[in-house]
Amino acid sequence: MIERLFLCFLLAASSALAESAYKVQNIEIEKGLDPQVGGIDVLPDGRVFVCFHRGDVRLYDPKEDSWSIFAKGLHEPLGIVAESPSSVVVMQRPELTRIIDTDEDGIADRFEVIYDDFGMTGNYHEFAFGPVRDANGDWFIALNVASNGASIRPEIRGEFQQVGMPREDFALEWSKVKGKAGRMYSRAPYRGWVMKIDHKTGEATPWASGFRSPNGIGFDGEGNLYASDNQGDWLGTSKLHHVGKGKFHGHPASLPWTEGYDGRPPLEIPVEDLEAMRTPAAIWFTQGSMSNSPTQPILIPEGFGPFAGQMLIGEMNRSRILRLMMQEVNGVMQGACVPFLDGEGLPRGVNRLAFGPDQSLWTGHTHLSWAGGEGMTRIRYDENIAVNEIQDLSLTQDGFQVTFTKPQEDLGEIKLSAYTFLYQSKYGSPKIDEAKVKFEIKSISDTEIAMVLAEPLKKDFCYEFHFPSVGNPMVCYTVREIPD
Amino acid sequence: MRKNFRTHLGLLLALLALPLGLSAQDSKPKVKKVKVKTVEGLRFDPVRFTVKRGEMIELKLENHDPNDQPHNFVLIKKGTLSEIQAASMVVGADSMEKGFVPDSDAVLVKSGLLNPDEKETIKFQAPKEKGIYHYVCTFPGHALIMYGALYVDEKYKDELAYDLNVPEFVRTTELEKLKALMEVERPSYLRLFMPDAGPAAIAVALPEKQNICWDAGNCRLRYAWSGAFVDATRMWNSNGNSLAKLLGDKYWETGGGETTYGLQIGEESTAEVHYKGYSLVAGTPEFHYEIDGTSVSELITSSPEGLTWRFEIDSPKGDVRVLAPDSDEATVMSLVGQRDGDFWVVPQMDASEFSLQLTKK
Repeated sequence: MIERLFLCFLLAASSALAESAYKVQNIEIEKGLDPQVGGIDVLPDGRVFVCFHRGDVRLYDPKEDSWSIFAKGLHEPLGIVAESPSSVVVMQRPELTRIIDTDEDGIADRFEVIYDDFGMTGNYHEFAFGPVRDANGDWFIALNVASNGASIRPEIRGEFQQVGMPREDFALEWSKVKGKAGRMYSRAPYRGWVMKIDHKTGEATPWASGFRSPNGIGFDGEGNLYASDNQGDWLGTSKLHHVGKGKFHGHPASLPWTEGYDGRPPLEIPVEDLEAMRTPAAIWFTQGSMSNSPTQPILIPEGFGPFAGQMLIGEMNRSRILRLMMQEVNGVMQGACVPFLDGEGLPRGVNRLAFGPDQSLWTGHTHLSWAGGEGMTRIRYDENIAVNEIQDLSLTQDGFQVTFTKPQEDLGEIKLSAYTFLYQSKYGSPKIDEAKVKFEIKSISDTEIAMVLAEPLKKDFCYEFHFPSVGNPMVCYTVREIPD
Repeated sequence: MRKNFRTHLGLLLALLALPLGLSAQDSKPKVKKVKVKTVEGLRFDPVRFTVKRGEMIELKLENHDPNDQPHNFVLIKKGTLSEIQAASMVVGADSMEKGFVPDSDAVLVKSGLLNPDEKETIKFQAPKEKGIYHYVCTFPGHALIMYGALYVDEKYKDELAYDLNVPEFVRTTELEKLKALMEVERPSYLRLFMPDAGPAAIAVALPEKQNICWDAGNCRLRYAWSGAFVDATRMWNSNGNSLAKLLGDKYWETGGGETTYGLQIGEESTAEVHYKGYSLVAGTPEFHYEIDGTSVSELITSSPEGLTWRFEIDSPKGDVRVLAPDSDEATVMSLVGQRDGDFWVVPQMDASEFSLQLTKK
């Protein structure tokens, strides 16, 4: 026992002491500026466009380590796409805006609305996220629902949704009526939806519903669109959704904006009906251990270590970036998540991610008065340092197949447990039916093992692994489908 | 049964703890410690603070006034500020002896009269009824401006600069600090939640200390104010929930609500507006939008008298009616067209390009 403990200690110490192949460099932000980053994107020449909480868009030149102001005065910008040194597209609270420097003096002079035909009630929680572009150049954005932490304002933009609590009640003493509004509510168009905007015509298509707080959308290498969502009402734990046209992803507040909607107030729809309608998450992020507030997913390019083709995703509450290992099973996207960087100089509040032309990763941090952080970092990969991690973890008919980035001399004691989460109107969910799972290890090669479970795999369960021999031992796989 | 067991267990634990002296210490009620200084300019520092109802307060009073002024701390009943202010002005033969504390049922707690650099610690129980109480220095002549607000089980509803429970000069000082903090280049603008406008508002700071609010929701000018710009600090220091506050004097507004439009072109009422964005003309935003398919540009600049409000309309299909009411403090007119109630009407032949002058009286 003591020997075992000692071994564990040695293993832990060696993994803790092992030099990371990923180096985090803190980027100094100009003094006098609130360094909460809403969006970040890198030009092909390596310069970085950043938008900030107080409405500035600034351009950072890493070669000169210098900043310049491109635009000011925006309303809570939470995403930016750099089109050229003289044009960016920004998602701010009221609209998706193209910001152009027409006379090329380095300062924007034209602000063109791409899309603002969505509602705003003035509720603080109606953030707007994105944008991302698909292969055709069309835009995708995500619209947050309102929170009953506050009411709506006397004047709104857009149509008011009549389903549910009447509008005049929103003007009453809020603490007395907030319960009737729903914990999160969508009373102006397309709150809780992912929208697609045609880049040529500007025409918007309500793409998918059922979101609560989708602070982060992104594509994988195959053109699949993903959106993260935050633990809360109807979200037992935080999630990654594989966003599909016409799909309902689980939070009912957004439903009344569905075409041909039957008019039922969302709070009165039985859970069984919602359960039948919804598309469950591709990945659960276990609250408390994996992620409490996931942000933007981003595809890993070649040149950033051994994980090209997988995705990374930010996390607000910890100094952490996660890595995602997706797998298509019976036509359904699902997969595993694992911490990618934990601490190692990274501030908390990883809100936005962007890769530069040299394959370095830029991170922008924020908190907006929740648990988070601020500032910017640049993360580089050092190919001379070996990465000792789970390369991939996928589901088989009777268990899991695990590959490692390098040969494992001693796997140590691998642990596996499984649990699920409730789908309910109450905030969050405890782990349900949590139990240890027995398995047998079959070695396939020195970098690959099969784990054959002693019991049948369970759908809609999260399998949590601990691999003591790698740098980030905890991995979670969300089982939706089991291979035929 | 179970409850019984627990009670017994609790009792047992308490008894066990007694000999160690733990219980005696634990049962001692918590005391909230507060330091209140009297500072230059007849001011309490802090000028407001919060306590829980009925809790024990240990208040350390320190006189830091460099102007050789004596001060005390007198907590009074709710709603008795003016009564005590008046009473403190009356000096009788025994006033000195009583530390200049008026004989009044309204006095709840009092300290002694402290000379500069003196200290005193007073202990008292906070009022048992929630609400906002005042503490006053009752040295003759001080109480009119030297008081503070004790919030008992109440949250601050507003920043100090806007809190009517603290003396006016304190609010003014705080407001001046905010104005300095919010000093902006002119022209410049900020998109934020504005009072008396839709949620997609734009606040523009113009030269000559002029400011306007333009609503990008229904594409129209909402109001104008003069003086300092807006207080956006509450929005900046939060998740964005707060409404901005005007730091100057609003002197003119167009009125109406979310379904009111600013322009009508031709006979038909405006059915649809589409906001298109703005371009910067020497730093000032020129707003672009469409009214029922007709393109409009609107540029508001400042003039020594008020504002110049310029429109460019692409092939107007009829006379143009601009929602431009006069107010008690401002008039709106143009060289072309005429007034019709709250509207200024520009004939079709002049309507492709015209300006209105807003003059502050």
